[in-house]
Amino acid sequence: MKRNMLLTLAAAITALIINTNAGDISFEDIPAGLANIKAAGSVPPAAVPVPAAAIPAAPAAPAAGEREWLVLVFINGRNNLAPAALADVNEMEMVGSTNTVAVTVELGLLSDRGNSWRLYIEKDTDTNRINSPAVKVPGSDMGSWKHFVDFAKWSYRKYPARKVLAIIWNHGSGRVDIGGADNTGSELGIAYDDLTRNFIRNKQLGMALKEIENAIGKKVSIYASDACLMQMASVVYEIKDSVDMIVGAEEIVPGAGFPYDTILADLTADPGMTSETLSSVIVDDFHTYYDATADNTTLSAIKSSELPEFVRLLNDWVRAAALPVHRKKVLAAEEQALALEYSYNGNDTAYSPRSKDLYDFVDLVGKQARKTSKVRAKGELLKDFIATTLAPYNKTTPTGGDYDRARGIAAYFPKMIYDPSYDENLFARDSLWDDFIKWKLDPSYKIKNR
Amino acid sequence: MSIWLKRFWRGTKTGKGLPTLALVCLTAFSAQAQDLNDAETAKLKLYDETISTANPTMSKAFLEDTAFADRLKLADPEKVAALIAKAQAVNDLEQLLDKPWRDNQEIELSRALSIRIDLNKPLEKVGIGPAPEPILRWMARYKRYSAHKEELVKRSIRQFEVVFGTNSTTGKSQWEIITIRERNAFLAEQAGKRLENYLENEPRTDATFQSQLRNETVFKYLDPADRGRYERYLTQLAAADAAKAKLSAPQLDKIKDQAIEQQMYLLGGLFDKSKSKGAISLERKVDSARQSKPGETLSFQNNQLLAGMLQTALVSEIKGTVAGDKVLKFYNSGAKLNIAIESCQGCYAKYEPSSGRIIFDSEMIQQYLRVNNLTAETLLKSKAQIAALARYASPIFVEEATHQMQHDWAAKAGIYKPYVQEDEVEANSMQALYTTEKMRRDAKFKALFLRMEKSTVYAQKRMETMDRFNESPVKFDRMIRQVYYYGTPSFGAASSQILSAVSSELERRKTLDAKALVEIEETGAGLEDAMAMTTQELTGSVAEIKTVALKKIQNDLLHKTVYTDHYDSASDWTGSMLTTVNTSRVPKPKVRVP
Repeated sequence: MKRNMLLTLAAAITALIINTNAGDISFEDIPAGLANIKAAGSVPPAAVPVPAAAIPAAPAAPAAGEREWLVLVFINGRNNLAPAALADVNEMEMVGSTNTVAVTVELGLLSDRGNSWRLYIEKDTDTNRINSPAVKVPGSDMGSWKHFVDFAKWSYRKYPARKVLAIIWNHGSGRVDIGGADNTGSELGIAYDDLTRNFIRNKQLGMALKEIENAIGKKVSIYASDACLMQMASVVYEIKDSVDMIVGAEEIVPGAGFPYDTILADLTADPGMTSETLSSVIVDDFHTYYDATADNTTLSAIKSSELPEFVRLLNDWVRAAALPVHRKKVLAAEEQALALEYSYNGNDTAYSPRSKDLYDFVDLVGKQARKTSKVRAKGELLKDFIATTLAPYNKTTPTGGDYDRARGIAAYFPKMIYDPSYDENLFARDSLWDDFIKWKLDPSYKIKNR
Repeated sequence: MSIWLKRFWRGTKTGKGLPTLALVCLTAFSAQAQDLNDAETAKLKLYDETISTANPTMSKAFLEDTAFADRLKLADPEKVAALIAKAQAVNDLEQLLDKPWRDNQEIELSRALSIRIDLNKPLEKVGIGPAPEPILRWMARYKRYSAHKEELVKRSIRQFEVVFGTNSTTGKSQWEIITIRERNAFLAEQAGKRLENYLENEPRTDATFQSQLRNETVFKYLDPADRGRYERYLTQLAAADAAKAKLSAPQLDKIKDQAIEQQMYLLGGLFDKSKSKGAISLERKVDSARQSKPGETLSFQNNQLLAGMLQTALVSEIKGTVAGDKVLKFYNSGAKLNIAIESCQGCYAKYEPSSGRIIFDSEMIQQYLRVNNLTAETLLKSKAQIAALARYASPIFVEEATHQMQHDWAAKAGIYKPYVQEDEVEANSMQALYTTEKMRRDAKFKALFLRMEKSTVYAQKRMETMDRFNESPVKFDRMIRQVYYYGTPSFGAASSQILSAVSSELERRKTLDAKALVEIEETGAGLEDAMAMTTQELTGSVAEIKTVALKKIQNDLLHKTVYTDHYDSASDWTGSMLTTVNTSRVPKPKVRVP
């Protein structure tokens, strides 16, 4: 789901003051802000009442021993996505938890005024109300990685399972924020809370999943971002050691997000499925849902165990590509590569893509090189590895559209200014991508450890 | 705490006796409940009724009536905890508003009030909150503030008429339902959007535009993160405008359509390695306010190397000063020093309890490199340059090491410690004491900071903190609480919020059936998790924490003097050391001081 920088607190209070004759401040943009709630085109009407009135404040259902799967969904709806949040919880209730699959949700909405709800999802047929039992969490910060961890720990304590699917549901993006003391830098993030004005940074996502891994005594089977733009090399590499599979989108995700009813129906029908199988099911169900709409989407599942080999192959390619002789090819390929989410891009130049598809970029560089060239050979190896081994489950909509060029993993492509905080990623530690980007921006930059 | 316990506490010089103290408190607390006599019952009723109307005089009286409170703790710990929570909240509010607030401190006061008057806060239980308007009635009933302060409070709570004017009342009743935090979040979103529009698209940097920007009243609603961006923007505009005056027409043409961040970046290239005196000064200003170039960033590997070298250099740098030696004594006693360099998200450095690291902001270090025409490569090859960087970072290192010492103290004492303004007063006092001594006795240190304060906000703030500390303890305390850390709760505010939430939850549990209680005990968070929670995390999670952990934390916070004694003792020490430092002989400078 796209991080919209327009007014988003509006869901709770905008209607109160749209017609106000402002003194110091103008509210003329509020209707536009509200309109953007549905800008993604797929958000169902908000037919459900707000949870504060609808969720019975009862203790969660007792655990029924260790299940096959625990699906925990951290839904930060404290923004313009609130109707979609309610709709998604209702989708989950169409299936509910079973003896083999427990589904928990932490639901935060602006209308709940700083409180959130922890739900144990139970099946019902009422699509207008959330009826699952819930406990109230007062004063929660849905933009805090520690709060996400707390929810995950709570879920696992109550509903232990052999495998865990953890989902963060919200906007995801690279955005300008306080990267340093003097407020420079942009950081990739997720789970923007428009009340606490906090969000989970890329590095914190890694810390959160590590802490969850420590708490449950095993890796998280699948981590999924039901949010935009999170399937970037720097993100997946940061969390690779704590998860088996990583599901996410290179591009924006429409407001409706994952089709939880079909995903949970498939899972509860075959609860013994492996992490890899469930990841492929999420990709398939997402594709099926959006293939029926006019939305442009991408979704892939990445095997985290393959990321070290991916980095080795990428580094080989960088060593072959970052040469003066290839500079023009690299710059030309960058211009043509599949760009994801054009918009203002942090401290970089205005209106440039936040990221580009890595496979497509490497492919375009190779196509300009001689067939026998090293850069082309290394590129072919890398491309083949991405498509067949790293991200074997990757689908886009509409079929046959431009997004067919998205092959499952995106990379950072600044246009003018390199974000120094990128150096702090584990991906920058182990790969030469940060050096490659610096060389692309400044030909005098020397790549070390060639 | 009883008198003998207090003596016992003061008698312990190290942390060794602290676990014993915690045990003693717990034992006393769990003594068998005793019934109150008639006079005590009447007294309790009076306190209860008056505190429940937010009476500040009676709240203060109750908090000072420690003998009675100790008696109540034995009779009904949950009830007294709830009453103390309310009294502390009222007392804390009164103290906050009694302080002198400048007319331009609307943002600070608004934030300070918003962390106190909100949903689920103890003030709500005495009729002030969640919407803030009742504070005006409370002020009218109990206080005699000036018209100026009343006006400031109205602006700070974002009173409807102040924000929207008086021409219409449409939406007023709904506005007056929501909290200060919700009002500020809404207004901040609007203000942030406007700022972002400038940052993305605006090429103007001239004085007229700067003035226009400073006068846009909407920017008073920016949240702390955006306020930092706004202040940085103003700094960039001034630097860019001055730099542009030195450029040729073709050079100006290159940057004319760029937004500010790009202009600064390009100006950095145009002013590189300037020779003339004026140009050097300008170059430093531009370099300070621009982004790093690819060759100037700290790669992951260089970052690791630098962190290790900086750690060693910092230890050398602070040695021989009273504050520095106190810090070194702490590390020499077995505490681990672990320095890291990362994006700090709005701070220059921080102690991270979960990892035990002191993290220096990577941008602060890169800014230092840019201003001094250094790269990571040249820095790492020069011991002298590493020493100079350590000199620059050493004041905030002393501050963050003090935070580490605070955590160590609480861990050894076995008590729950919320993060509060008092922690910052102590840590900043240590920093200021250190800076004072270094400025008096270390000519290189003095020369560095006199030079750097012209280029970086970091250096300016170190000097300001030192000046205020030397000026007066009262002014220093005020600066920490009202200028730098207004968004952090005081001990009274944090303690009252936790006690209120915990006591309410323990009362709720009395109504639960056995099955529900068993479930909490089986699946709830344990003591270790609870002790590591922040105030906000703890108050939000009380329903999911095991009873023994809640009672332990409640008991800790009911013994307020354990905390206040620590802060008082720290304050006494830095105060006396400041006198020593300022009256000791100053060595002759070995280097020329400008």
